[in-house]
Amino acid sequence: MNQSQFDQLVERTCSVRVTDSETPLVDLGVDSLHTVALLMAIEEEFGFEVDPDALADPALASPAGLLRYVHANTASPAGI
Amino acid sequence: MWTDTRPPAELPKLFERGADVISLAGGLPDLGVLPLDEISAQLGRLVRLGGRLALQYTTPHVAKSLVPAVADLMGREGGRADADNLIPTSGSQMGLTAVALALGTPGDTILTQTPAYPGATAAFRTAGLLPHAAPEDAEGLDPAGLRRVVTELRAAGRTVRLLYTNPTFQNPTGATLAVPRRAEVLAACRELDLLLVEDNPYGLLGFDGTTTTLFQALDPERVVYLGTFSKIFAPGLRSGWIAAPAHLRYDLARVAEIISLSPSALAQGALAAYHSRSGWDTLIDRYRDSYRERCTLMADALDAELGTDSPWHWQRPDGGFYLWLRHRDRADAGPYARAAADRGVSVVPGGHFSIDGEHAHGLRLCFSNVPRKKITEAVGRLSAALTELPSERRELAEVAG
Repeated sequence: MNQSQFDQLVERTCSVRVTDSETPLVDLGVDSLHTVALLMAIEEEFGFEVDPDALADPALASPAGLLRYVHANTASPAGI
Repeated sequence: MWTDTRPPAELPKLFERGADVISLAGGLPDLGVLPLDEISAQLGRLVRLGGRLALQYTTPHVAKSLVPAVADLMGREGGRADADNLIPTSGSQMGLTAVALALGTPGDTILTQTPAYPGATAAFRTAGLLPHAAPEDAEGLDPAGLRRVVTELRAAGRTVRLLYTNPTFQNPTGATLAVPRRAEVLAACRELDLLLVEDNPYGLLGFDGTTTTLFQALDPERVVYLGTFSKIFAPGLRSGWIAAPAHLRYDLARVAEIISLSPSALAQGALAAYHSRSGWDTLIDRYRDSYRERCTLMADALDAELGTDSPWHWQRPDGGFYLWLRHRDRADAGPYARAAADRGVSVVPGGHFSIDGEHAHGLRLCFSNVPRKKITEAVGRLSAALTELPSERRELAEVAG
């Protein structure tokens, strides 16, 4: 999955518009329950168990940061 | 207590079950259609990834993540929902209480479509309101009658500001008010400055998928809409909403917060996750299929057992949970319901749905939750009670006389 496709997942799950993939989720208008919904969607989409504290690292708390986290945790980082 | 009312505002004990009693009484959904494995996996994820949030107090709002799920449901009947007009409830029973407390003043009259859901009249009475039967004709709520009755009540010094209706697949009759009539009722409400309270738990349960345009869609500033996830997902999550006109939102939200402090973030998160992943179509279709099948089995059995000569009249519903029998000669259905209970089938006599003793000749049969293979047996037991009781009464009268 490339960044554009991942941004669409964020938009679909969180009902927001991703203007810049590096923008923190909170600044895109993603609230806390939406963030949980996004982590749930990532688990279902990519088939690995997300660390509940992953987003405590500010570097991961954006669409681009989350996709880097996904790639680091999936067997085929080039895409599914 | 000051909330004690005459008649007592109590709910019938609909969800109790005895041995070998087939219940056609309580309006329970058929949860056999729920994809429990999927829901279980999502709940597990929700708690593991967001438990500290989902199990915490939250703010008295419909969560942003849940708004699309509500908007999807209301949009199917032309209604409008957005984050600004929604107030969370623990289901429409809380919505009814919040509406009565926030928009009424003790002593006010609330016009109520009858026969009425007993939980609604109990909520109104508990808030100190006085339910008064809304005028109806053969097509349902009657706009000309509304003008007349409201004028008479106001001339008698009564304050009348609210009209309550359950317009689609009504509990207990199964009846649906046609859209042109809805527009006429709203025109009367505007003239009379009445707010319309639209209680719509069953609107998406038309057996063939047909939906009817909401009052809320026709005039969102005149209608307080009560929605619930209880009938299209599950009642155990205790989750619903009020869609309110902008000028009433604050008052309703304040009372909702007083009643419950905050909604369940766990329930809201679970519903949002389900909708986001699966949408509503499949589940609603499964519910419709289940109820269509059960209703057909029950109606066919009633046709076979009662035939056309019976004093009990009824119409096949097009959706919802209920089938409503009425006695041609307006005989009190209470003794028939007790006779049915003696034969091992429970139904609800019409008096439970009355404001002032009317509709006592009705019987509500709920088909939504009875096991398919027991429907014919249930109708057989009921029919025996309905047809044999008068002669038994005669015998008793002869013995006594």
